[in-house]
Amino acid sequence: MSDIASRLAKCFTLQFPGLAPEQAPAATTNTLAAWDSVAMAGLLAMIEEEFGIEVDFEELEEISSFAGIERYVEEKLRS
Amino acid sequence: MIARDATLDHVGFVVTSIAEQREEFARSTGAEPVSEIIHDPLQRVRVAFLAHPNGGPRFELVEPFGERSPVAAFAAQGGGLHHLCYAVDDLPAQLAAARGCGASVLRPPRPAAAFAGRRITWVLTRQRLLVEFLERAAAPSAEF
Repeated sequence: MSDIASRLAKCFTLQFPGLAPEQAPAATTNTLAAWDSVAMAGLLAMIEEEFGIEVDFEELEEISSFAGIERYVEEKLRS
Repeated sequence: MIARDATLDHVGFVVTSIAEQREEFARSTGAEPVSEIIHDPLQRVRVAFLAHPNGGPRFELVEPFGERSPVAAFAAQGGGLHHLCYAVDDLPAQLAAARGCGASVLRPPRPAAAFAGRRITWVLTRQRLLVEFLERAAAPSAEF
Protein backbone atom coordinates (compact mmCIF):
# COMPACT_ATOMS: atom_id res chain seq x y z
CA MET A 1 0.00 0.00 0.00
CA SER A 2 1.38 3.44 -0.93
CA ASP A 3 1.92 6.11 1.69
CA ILE A 4 -1.14 8.03 0.49
CA ALA A 5 -3.28 4.88 0.53
CA SER A 6 -2.10 4.00 3.99
CA ARG A 7 -2.85 7.49 5.37
CA LEU A 8 -6.19 7.50 3.59
CA ALA A 9 -6.99 4.08 5.07
CA LYS A 10 -6.38 5.60 8.50
CA CYS A 11 -8.97 8.30 7.73
CA PHE A 12 -11.44 5.65 6.61
CA THR A 13 -10.99 3.51 9.71
CA LEU A 14 -11.46 6.56 11.94
CA GLN A 15 -14.64 7.50 10.10
CA PHE A 16 -15.93 3.93 9.88
CA PRO A 17 -14.84 2.21 13.11
CA GLY A 18 -15.97 -1.23 11.94
CA LEU A 19 -13.66 -1.12 8.93
CA ALA A 20 -10.25 -2.81 9.20
CA PRO A 21 -7.33 -0.95 7.55
CA GLU A 22 -6.79 -3.77 5.06
CA GLN A 23 -10.46 -3.60 4.02
CA ALA A 24 -10.39 0.15 3.35
CA PRO A 25 -8.91 0.08 -0.18
CA ALA A 26 -11.87 -2.00 -1.40
CA ALA A 27 -14.46 0.31 0.13
CA THR A 28 -17.13 1.83 -2.10
CA THR A 29 -20.43 3.55 -1.40
CA ASN A 30 -22.12 0.31 -2.46
CA THR A 31 -20.18 -1.95 -0.10
CA LEU A 32 -20.07 0.36 2.91
CA ALA A 33 -23.61 1.08 4.09
CA ALA A 34 -22.50 3.76 6.55
CA TRP A 35 -20.94 5.82 3.73
CA ASP A 36 -23.52 8.60 3.47
CA SER A 37 -23.23 12.37 3.05
CA VAL A 38 -22.58 12.95 6.74
CA ALA A 39 -19.85 10.31 6.73
CA MET A 40 -18.41 11.90 3.58
CA ALA A 41 -18.33 15.26 5.35
CA GLY A 42 -16.42 13.63 8.19
CA LEU A 43 -14.00 12.07 5.71
CA LEU A 44 -13.44 15.46 4.11
CA ALA A 45 -12.46 16.99 7.45
CA MET A 46 -10.04 14.14 8.18
CA ILE A 47 -8.51 14.20 4.69
CA GLU A 48 -7.97 17.97 4.90
CA GLU A 49 -6.25 17.55 8.25
CA GLU A 50 -4.21 14.47 7.32
CA PHE A 51 -2.92 15.75 3.97
CA GLY A 52 -3.02 19.52 4.55
CA ILE A 53 -5.08 20.10 1.43
CA GLU A 54 -8.34 21.93 0.79
CA VAL A 55 -11.01 19.58 -0.46
CA ASP A 56 -14.10 20.60 -2.41
CA PHE A 57 -16.96 18.66 -0.85
CA GLU A 58 -19.03 18.71 -4.01
CA GLU A 59 -16.17 17.19 -5.99
CA LEU A 60 -15.55 14.63 -3.27
CA GLU A 61 -19.16 13.49 -3.05
CA GLU A 62 -19.11 12.62 -6.75
CA ILE A 63 -16.52 9.95 -5.93
CA SER A 64 -17.82 6.61 -4.79
CA SER A 65 -14.74 4.56 -3.92
CA PHE A 66 -11.58 4.57 -1.83
CA ALA A 67 -9.54 4.26 -5.04
CA GLY A 68 -11.25 7.32 -6.51
CA ILE A 69 -10.55 9.38 -3.40
CA GLU A 70 -6.93 8.19 -3.44
CA ARG A 71 -6.58 9.48 -7.02
CA TYR A 72 -8.27 12.74 -6.03
CA VAL A 73 -5.85 13.24 -3.13
CA GLU A 74 -2.87 12.41 -5.37
CA GLU A 75 -3.97 15.04 -7.87
CA LYS A 76 -4.52 17.64 -5.14
CA LEU A 77 -1.06 16.98 -3.73
CA ARG A 78 0.50 17.33 -7.20
CA SER A 79 -1.24 20.64 -7.97
CA MET B 1 -18.07 30.05 15.81
CA ILE B 2 -21.82 30.67 15.55
CA ALA B 3 -22.64 34.40 15.37
CA ARG B 4 -24.11 36.10 18.42
CA ASP B 5 -27.15 37.15 16.42
CA ALA B 6 -27.82 33.56 15.29
CA THR B 7 -31.08 31.93 16.24
CA LEU B 8 -31.87 28.26 16.01
CA ASP B 9 -34.33 28.08 13.13
CA HIS B 10 -34.92 24.37 12.87
CA VAL B 11 -33.69 20.86 13.52
CA GLY B 12 -33.34 18.66 10.44
CA PHE B 13 -34.58 15.09 10.62
CA VAL B 14 -34.22 12.73 7.66
CA VAL B 15 -37.03 10.36 6.74
CA THR B 16 -37.61 8.04 3.82
CA SER B 17 -41.08 9.45 3.09
CA ILE B 18 -42.59 12.65 4.44
CA ALA B 19 -46.03 11.63 3.26
CA GLU B 20 -45.86 8.38 5.19
CA GLN B 21 -44.02 9.56 8.30
CA ARG B 22 -45.11 13.14 8.98
CA GLU B 23 -48.26 12.27 10.88
CA GLU B 24 -46.52 9.87 13.24
CA PHE B 25 -43.63 12.33 13.73
CA ALA B 26 -46.14 15.03 14.64
CA ARG B 27 -47.86 12.73 17.14
CA SER B 28 -44.60 11.75 18.82
CA THR B 29 -43.23 15.29 19.10
CA GLY B 30 -46.40 17.29 19.68
CA ALA B 31 -45.50 19.51 16.73
CA GLU B 32 -47.95 20.38 13.97
CA PRO B 33 -47.38 20.55 10.23
CA VAL B 34 -46.95 24.18 9.16
CA SER B 35 -46.00 23.78 5.52
CA GLU B 36 -46.72 21.81 2.41
CA ILE B 37 -44.13 19.36 1.13
CA ILE B 38 -41.62 21.52 -0.74
CA HIS B 39 -39.44 20.15 -3.53
CA ASP B 40 -35.98 21.67 -3.74
CA PRO B 41 -34.30 20.51 -6.96
CA LEU B 42 -31.01 22.27 -6.14
CA GLN B 43 -30.63 20.40 -2.86
CA ARG B 44 -32.21 17.25 -4.32
CA VAL B 45 -34.60 16.85 -1.40
CA ARG B 46 -38.20 17.34 -0.40
CA VAL B 47 -38.83 19.03 2.93
CA ALA B 48 -41.73 19.89 5.21
CA PHE B 49 -41.85 21.88 8.43
CA LEU B 50 -43.55 21.24 11.75
CA ALA B 51 -43.74 23.56 14.73
CA HIS B 52 -44.90 23.52 18.32
CA PRO B 53 -47.92 25.72 19.03
CA ASN B 54 -45.90 27.40 21.80
CA GLY B 55 -43.06 28.36 19.46
CA GLY B 56 -39.40 27.41 19.49
CA PRO B 57 -37.33 25.97 16.67
CA ARG B 58 -39.19 24.09 13.98
CA PHE B 59 -38.59 20.56 12.80
CA GLU B 60 -37.65 20.08 9.17
CA LEU B 61 -38.43 16.66 7.77
CA VAL B 62 -36.07 15.93 4.89
CA GLU B 63 -36.75 13.28 2.28
CA PRO B 64 -34.26 12.35 -0.46
CA PHE B 65 -35.24 13.15 -4.03
CA GLY B 66 -33.55 10.63 -6.28
CA GLU B 67 -30.65 8.27 -5.76
CA ARG B 68 -28.11 11.10 -6.02
CA SER B 69 -29.70 13.05 -3.20
CA PRO B 70 -27.15 13.93 -0.49
CA VAL B 71 -29.40 12.31 2.12
CA ALA B 72 -30.26 9.15 0.13
CA ALA B 73 -27.77 6.90 1.93
CA PHE B 74 -28.61 8.44 5.30
CA ALA B 75 -32.30 7.76 4.71
CA ALA B 76 -31.55 4.23 3.51
CA GLN B 77 -29.98 3.54 6.89
CA GLY B 78 -33.17 4.58 8.62
CA GLY B 79 -32.71 8.36 8.71
CA GLY B 80 -32.93 10.32 11.96
CA LEU B 81 -31.47 13.47 13.48
CA HIS B 82 -29.34 15.12 10.80
CA HIS B 83 -28.51 18.81 11.31
CA LEU B 84 -29.14 22.08 13.13
CA CYS B 85 -30.00 25.22 11.18
CA TYR B 86 -29.20 28.71 12.45
CA ALA B 87 -30.56 31.88 10.90
CA VAL B 88 -27.94 34.63 10.65
CA ASP B 89 -27.84 38.19 9.32
CA ASP B 90 -24.51 37.98 7.53
CA LEU B 91 -23.88 34.68 5.78
CA PRO B 92 -20.38 35.48 4.41
CA ALA B 93 -19.22 36.69 7.83
CA GLN B 94 -20.62 33.54 9.43
CA LEU B 95 -18.79 31.36 6.93
CA ALA B 96 -15.53 33.19 7.58
CA ALA B 97 -16.00 32.74 11.33
CA ALA B 98 -16.70 29.04 10.85
CA ARG B 99 -13.58 28.59 8.72
CA GLY B 100 -11.60 30.45 11.35
CA CYS B 101 -12.64 27.84 13.89
CA GLY B 102 -11.51 25.00 11.66
CA ALA B 103 -14.93 24.04 10.33
CA SER B 104 -15.20 22.62 6.82
CA VAL B 105 -17.51 24.41 4.42
CA LEU B 106 -19.40 21.73 2.56
CA ARG B 107 -21.55 23.81 0.24
CA PRO B 108 -21.32 27.45 -0.81
CA PRO B 109 -24.34 29.71 -0.25
CA ARG B 110 -27.20 28.88 -2.60
CA PRO B 111 -30.87 29.88 -2.73
CA ALA B 112 -33.24 27.33 -1.22
CA ALA B 113 -36.80 26.67 -2.28
CA ALA B 114 -37.83 25.91 1.30
CA PHE B 115 -36.93 29.46 2.34
CA ALA B 116 -38.37 31.48 -0.53
CA GLY B 117 -35.00 31.84 -2.21
CA ARG B 118 -33.03 32.90 0.85
CA ARG B 119 -29.56 31.39 0.72
CA ILE B 120 -28.32 28.49 2.81
CA THR B 121 -24.87 27.05 3.31
CA TRP B 122 -23.56 23.92 5.02
CA VAL B 123 -20.70 23.53 7.46
CA LEU B 124 -19.23 20.62 9.43
CA THR B 125 -17.66 21.69 12.70
CA ARG B 126 -14.54 20.06 14.08
CA GLN B 127 -16.82 18.27 16.54
CA ARG B 128 -18.60 16.69 13.54
CA LEU B 129 -21.76 18.72 14.01
CA LEU B 130 -23.52 19.34 10.71
CA VAL B 131 -24.80 22.92 10.66
CA GLU B 132 -26.88 24.71 8.06
CA PHE B 133 -26.81 28.51 8.04
CA LEU B 134 -29.76 30.39 6.63
CA GLU B 135 -29.68 34.08 5.84
CA ARG B 136 -32.47 36.01 7.51
CA ALA B 137 -33.19 38.25 4.54
CA ALA B 138 -32.69 37.47 0.87
CA ALA B 139 -29.50 38.94 -0.57
CA PRO B 140 -30.26 41.70 -3.12
CA SER B 141 -28.50 39.78 -5.86
CA ALA B 142 -30.00 36.40 -5.00
CA GLU B 143 -31.58 34.88 -8.06
CA PHE B 144 -34.19 32.22 -7.75
